[in-house]
Amino acid sequence: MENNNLLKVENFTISYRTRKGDVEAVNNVSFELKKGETLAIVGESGCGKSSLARGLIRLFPRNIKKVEGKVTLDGREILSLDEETFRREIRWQEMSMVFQGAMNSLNPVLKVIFQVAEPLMVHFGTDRESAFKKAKEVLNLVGISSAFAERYPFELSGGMKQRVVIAMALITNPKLLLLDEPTSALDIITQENIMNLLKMLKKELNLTYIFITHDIALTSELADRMAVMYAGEIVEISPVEDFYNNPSHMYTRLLLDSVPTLRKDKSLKSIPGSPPSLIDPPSGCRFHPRCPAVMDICKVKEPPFYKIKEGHFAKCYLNEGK
Amino acid sequence: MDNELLRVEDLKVWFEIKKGIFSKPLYVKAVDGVNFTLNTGESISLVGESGSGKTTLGKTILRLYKPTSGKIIFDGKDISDSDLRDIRWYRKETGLVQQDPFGALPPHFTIYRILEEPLIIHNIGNKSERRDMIYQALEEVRLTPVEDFAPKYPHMLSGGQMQRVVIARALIMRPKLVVADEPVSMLDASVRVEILELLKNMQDRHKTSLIYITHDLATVRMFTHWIFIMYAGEIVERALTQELLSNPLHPYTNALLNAIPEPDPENRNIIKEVPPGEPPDLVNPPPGCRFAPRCSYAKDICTKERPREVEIKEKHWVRCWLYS
Amino acid sequence: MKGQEIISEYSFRGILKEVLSYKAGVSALIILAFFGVLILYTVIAMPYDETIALWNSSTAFLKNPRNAEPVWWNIFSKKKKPRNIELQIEINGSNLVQEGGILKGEAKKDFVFDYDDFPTELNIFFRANYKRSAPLVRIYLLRPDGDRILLKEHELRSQDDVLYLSNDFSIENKLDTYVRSKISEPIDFSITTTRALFMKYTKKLEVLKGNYSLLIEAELKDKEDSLTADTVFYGSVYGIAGTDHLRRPIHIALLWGAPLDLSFGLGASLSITIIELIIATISGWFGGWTDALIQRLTEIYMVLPFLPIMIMISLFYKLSLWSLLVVVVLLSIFGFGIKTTRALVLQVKTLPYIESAQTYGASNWRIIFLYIIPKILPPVVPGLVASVPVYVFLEAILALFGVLDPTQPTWGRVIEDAFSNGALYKGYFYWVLIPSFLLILTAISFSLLGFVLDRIVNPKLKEL
Repeated sequence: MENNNLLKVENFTISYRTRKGDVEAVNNVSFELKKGETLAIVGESGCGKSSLARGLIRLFPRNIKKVEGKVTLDGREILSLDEETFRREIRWQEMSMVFQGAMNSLNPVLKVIFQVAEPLMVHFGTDRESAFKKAKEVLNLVGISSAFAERYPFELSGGMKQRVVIAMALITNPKLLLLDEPTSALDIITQENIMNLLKMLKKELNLTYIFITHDIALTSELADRMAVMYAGEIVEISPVEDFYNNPSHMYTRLLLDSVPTLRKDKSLKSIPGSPPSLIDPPSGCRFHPRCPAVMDICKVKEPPFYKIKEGHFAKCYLNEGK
Repeated sequence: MDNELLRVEDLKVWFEIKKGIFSKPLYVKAVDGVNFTLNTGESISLVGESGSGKTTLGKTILRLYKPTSGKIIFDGKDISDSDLRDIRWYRKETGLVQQDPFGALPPHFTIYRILEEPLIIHNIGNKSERRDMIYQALEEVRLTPVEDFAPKYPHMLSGGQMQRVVIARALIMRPKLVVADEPVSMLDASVRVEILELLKNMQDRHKTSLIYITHDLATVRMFTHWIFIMYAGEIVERALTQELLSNPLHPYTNALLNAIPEPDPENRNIIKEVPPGEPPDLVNPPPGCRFAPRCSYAKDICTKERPREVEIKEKHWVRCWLYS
Repeated sequence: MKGQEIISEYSFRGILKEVLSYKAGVSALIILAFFGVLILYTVIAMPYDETIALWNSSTAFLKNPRNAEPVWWNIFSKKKKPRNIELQIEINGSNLVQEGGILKGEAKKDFVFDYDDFPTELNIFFRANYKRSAPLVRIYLLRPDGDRILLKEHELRSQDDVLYLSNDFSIENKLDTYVRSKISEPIDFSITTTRALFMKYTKKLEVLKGNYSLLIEAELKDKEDSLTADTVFYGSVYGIAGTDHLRRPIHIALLWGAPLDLSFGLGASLSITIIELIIATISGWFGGWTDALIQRLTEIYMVLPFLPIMIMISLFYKLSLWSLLVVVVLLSIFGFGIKTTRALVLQVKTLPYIESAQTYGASNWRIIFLYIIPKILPPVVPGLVASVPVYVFLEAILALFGVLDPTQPTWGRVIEDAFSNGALYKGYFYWVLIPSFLLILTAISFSLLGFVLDRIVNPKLKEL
């Protein structure tokens, strides 16, 4: 069954140890991603999307307690690899990540070109000259001229710094790029510029993206498929058209209703309550305390994934019998 | 309802950068010539990207910064030049709602105390009158039951709840003008609507004028009346909301509107047209129109002379050589 | 929020709970509780003024041995060191007998001497009442082996008279001859009075253990006359901390050292921290000239050599503990803490809630005291706690330099006394070790507490 799945995640679970208890940050997440596809993961703060991304690239905090499941990248099981092998062969070679707020984490005392070239020198042992040459190429690709390459981060604007960060992630030619809120700190016009860049790179380099954001409207700029996360779980996953036309989980619907749009006049609704604690999540369906359509069974038994159609699943009892 | 509440005339706010003892001082021209009038009960959505000067404008109107030149006339009184001591009354008439709910509340005060502070400072009411005012404020922002929330500390609340307290605090003295600086940008999507609705309700109920600062154009439809578009320290276009959204005139306004992502799955296949480049350096802005370096319609005059603001239609002003 | 009890993290209970969750915290609190009990006892049982008077009097401790070790000091050695034996013998009308024209009286007290070492001194303190002439006394020691030794025949020189029997050369020579004759072999140790009285008459120096009696014969003139003889066989151990060169029980100074030193440390630490806090906040908040002035002042202060200045001051004045406190505070308030606190203030200054406060009309001073200082207080507290031992040690060091007023018993003074009396040369290690141990205990407990508080407070620092 070697289809063109680049990434297959099965029952991925992560929990952290804290003084107040164990936080179940990611609970039984499964999905597949084809080569060249973009999966957008949307959710509010605390839903586990960043934990999921960091988990995939295996960057765990010190208080990590449990990591379970299976992650297959290009046919190779990567979750069970030992740390050294993962570091040498997978991280920043097969998959890279653009972190949230990364543009503010650039090393202020190193020139931009050095920072972009560094992964090559570290991972492949490339000599400085060749690494710098490649770095310039990649920087040009993302729209940073050679002049700016020789500058320090503080001399660059927010948008430019973000391009640098993207260049850093791309220089080792990864197949999979994880983007965690890549534009949240940027202005609208700069944001559009970056999205244009990502679209262009996707086409030219046939990149596969996992695009994480809380901005639902933004996801339509890149996403082929959408996954909605709530309280550590994926509650709905679907092709992007179906996401807008046929949201099948109550949370997804409410989320769509709460996003203001400029062109369409619609009445906005907010979702009452707040996201649950992941230390002691609600029983049954984790969304049930806030759900206007809650039924008795929702409080007791975790809903299964209902198949709405090919590639569209939702974890909500409202789909029972459809 | 045509009472002029606020009039701003050619307002400039320049911040000095000290380079050295011997070199000439440089200025960051954050706000460089802003004019408008606001009537009681009206609201303005002040839209712009970072560096546009919108936050500086809002805060200068509140006299958190001192104007470098120009006039701010509030309720008939000129407050542009006054010493802060002389305008203590102004503090009662204005309120501020900030962007970051997590930093906007002093962590060592209870919610009750936080709301009591403005009343204490201005010596409003006695102990029991204040209690009533505070409880009423909490009710209005729907933090109920109020007895539960009043003794809590800020870190016990969620972001949305904290922002409600911020709003309650801003409105507790029934000010005539409230400046809300990106009040929901740090909140989750599902909470934003609530907060914006709350602001709107408070505005309607108390006839408070609101200056709503944001970079998210999609939210401005909640607040009617005016939209001002700011770029590089100037207001490049201003009009009533409906009018501006249906007839955007300035190229920058158009660029902004274009850039807003709308939930349309087709977007991923289209490369949007976006003005290239970056907003200008505010220490040395380009001569002439500040948007000219990025504008696809730029003419010769745009790079030489600064366009004046022109009332192209009734209640619709543009600052652009395309129209004057 | 679930219906949980609101224990604010700013409440004392909340903080106490957190401290107790660390092992270091529990240890620190145990040690501090111990000190607390000590101080409470001291303050109640030994009032300050009385103690000071006692400590500085020359006659209060005459009945204590000099430089005695603590009773438990040689707990593991087989030798049992002697404690003080005090006997009171009274001769008055009840035991006087007329013999000729003289009134004769005799009284005896028995005691057991079963120690392995000899008394260090033997003194008799007489108090006599007489009308015309002073009584004549004869002092005998009756040994378990039957020997009856006449120590001295003496006419009292006044109503209060002291016989320093063990220092009396004539007695010593007499006894020396006597003992040598008893032993008849050559001996290789010297014979002192106390040794002679209590030794076995053998070649090896050994204590004769057993029942002894002290007998005093007196001749008085009038039948209203009377006399009391307080005899002290001085031991070589005394109390829990021994005695010093002036026979004073060291534990008095150690007990009072606790409240004095700790209140000095706490007082210095608290005052300096609070004053620094206020100065730093003013400096950071107002900026401009105020800031520049205060910072330059601080930098000058930081360069000043603290210890040499203190020593210079001591050349002119002997400082009492409290004046020392004032001087230390004055010399420290523009210290390093200002720089670090100011950095905190500069960060807090940019927080949104400060701006809001300005919007609703808070004045500068209100913002400084109600908005900024409460916010920067938590990060400052661990430093405050951990610097208490610094000031306690400072006091000890200054005492060593002779800066301090010698009439106040503090731990530093005790160590200073020990050093200037050659304690380490003479082997009186307890004199130095016990106060040092207390100093170290203080340092450990406050440092541990400061460490724990730092861990608790630091997560909140992240909000800054």
